[in-house]
Amino acid sequence: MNYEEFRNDAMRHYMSMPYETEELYKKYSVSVPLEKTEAAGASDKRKFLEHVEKSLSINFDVVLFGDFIRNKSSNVRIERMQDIAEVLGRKQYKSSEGKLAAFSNAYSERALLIRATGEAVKINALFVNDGSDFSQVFVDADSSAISLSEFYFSTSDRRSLVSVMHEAAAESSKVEINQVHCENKNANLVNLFKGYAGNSSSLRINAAYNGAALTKAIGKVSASGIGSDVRVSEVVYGASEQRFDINTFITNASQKSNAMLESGAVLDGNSNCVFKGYAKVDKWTKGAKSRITERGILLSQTAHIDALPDMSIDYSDEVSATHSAATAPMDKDAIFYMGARGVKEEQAREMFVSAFLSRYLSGIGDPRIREIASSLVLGRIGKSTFGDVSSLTSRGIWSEAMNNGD
Amino acid sequence: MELEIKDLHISAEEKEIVKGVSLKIRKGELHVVMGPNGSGKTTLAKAIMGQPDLKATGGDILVDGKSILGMKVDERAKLGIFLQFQNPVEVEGLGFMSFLNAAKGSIYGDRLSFKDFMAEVKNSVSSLSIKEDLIGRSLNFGFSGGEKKKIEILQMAILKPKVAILDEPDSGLDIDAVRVVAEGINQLRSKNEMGILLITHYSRILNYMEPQFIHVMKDGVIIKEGGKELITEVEEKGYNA
Repeated sequence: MNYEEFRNDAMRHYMSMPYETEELYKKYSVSVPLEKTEAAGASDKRKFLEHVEKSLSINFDVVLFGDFIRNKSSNVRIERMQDIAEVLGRKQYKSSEGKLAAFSNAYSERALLIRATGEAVKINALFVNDGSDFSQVFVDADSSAISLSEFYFSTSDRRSLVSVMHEAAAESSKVEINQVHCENKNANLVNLFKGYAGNSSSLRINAAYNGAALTKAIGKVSASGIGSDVRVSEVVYGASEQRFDINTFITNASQKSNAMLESGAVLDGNSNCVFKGYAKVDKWTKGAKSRITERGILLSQTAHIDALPDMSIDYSDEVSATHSAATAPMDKDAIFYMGARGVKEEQAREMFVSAFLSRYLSGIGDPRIREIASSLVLGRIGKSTFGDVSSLTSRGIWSEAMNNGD
Repeated sequence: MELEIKDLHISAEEKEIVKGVSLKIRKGELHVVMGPNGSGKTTLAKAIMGQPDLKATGGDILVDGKSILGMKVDERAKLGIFLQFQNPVEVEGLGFMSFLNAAKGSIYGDRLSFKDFMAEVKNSVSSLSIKEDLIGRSLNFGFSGGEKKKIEILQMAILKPKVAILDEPDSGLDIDAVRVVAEGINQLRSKNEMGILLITHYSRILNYMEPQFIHVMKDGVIIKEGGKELITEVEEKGYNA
């Protein structure tokens, strides 16, 4: 089956069995229209982009905002999905990857291809949706280092579905992909991820879920090569009625491989989060290390976390595999301790939550990106609203020190 | 500043732990409270600081003659009361320097530039023989018991309280570290004319200090009071004599 046939088949399949009924509506009572809207004109989009870049003190190499596209990186190609199979040289997501993947693939209109061979590449990308939006990102690193930082915002004033699919491959390389999701209350996010690290390679995924009414994430990451290292860090700040369903699968498929998953959530209001982390250690993976930790802090009595770590270990020598989960309200002893140093309770609570969230962002290699990600997540603390771009700010010790010349 | 504890009764979860304790700590005075495990010493310390789960069911805590029972913990800290915790909490991700700078800003209302603040902290770090890398880490996270005690004293040096309640500053310390911590406390006491209420099980740290008042506490009440000679008596006969 060629790509067109595959896509048409998938479209027919989902038209006969509507996606929102099958996946979103049934489980989350969310129904979203799939048609694209282009509410904002080109000048409005430029203004929005200028505002975000100025507020966050960052220049984006790549911007995808509806039909407004910017690409300043020679390592990035932006292609139509019809053309992608040929350029990519391998198959993309298939229906066997799951219904969501097949659905998202069928509706995807464009793809980013990021490739580097023998060089170190840093790319900052901005994704903005103003209607239902489907895109895919392919990252191929060969004997190189790629650091891709993605920021997601929404301007849609009505319910929309934002789907982003990633496929990342590190061969004798280091790949870091940072995703900061700050979509607005009208957005429902489907975030799909597939990645593997080859021999002596590392793949690090840092994902922050800070916006969107509903987030459904499915990630599958494999430490496939000997001595490979994969680390996934995901952090959620939820408030109001936000829902997060985060499913991440890590696999040790080779000897001396590391696969680590760290998930943390702070929930306020009536928000709800499910962390389902699954670790698989394959046969004959001597020296493999696998770990899942899931942590949550509940700031209100009506917030809810389900932390469900799970593991499967096939026969193998000298394997280390651990998992843990813990959820608790705010640590009263810590608040008392900080109070005893003169810090007001409200400030102490904020500091405690900030500290907890910061742990999950500490893996972002570039300090500037780490600070921007932190300010976007930590700026949410105590607020029930989200996805508001009018009050964006980049703050923190790092920029203070820079500004003061310290 | 004068801290007066007047016939104080403290309960936790309906159980009375402190059953009528009276003490008066004036500027520059060093008081020592000794007593066996479970005698209510730590509860007394936390109650003075304003631990919200502890209820004062009788008596009063006065600062310069005014009751502070209705004050929150941070308000008491701003008055100049400092509690050195027996088991300081660990907060991973909260930078020690950021925390201490925020604490100083809360108490004194203004914050030094990062550079000046760092210089002030480093000065105290060397006098307390603290490993410099500790101040670049998360608050108490992964510190040994001894390191935590030293970091508590470092915080006291920076925050300059008027009355310090030191809850077992010597526990978990080796013999050299006890001397360093004791000398650090002595320096701060003489420099800032700080009143001190020191809680301990053992006389070891007192070999390096000159306490004026010794109080022996048992079952929530003070059973004996006296001068430094009482330490020798306790050492020889124990708390049950």
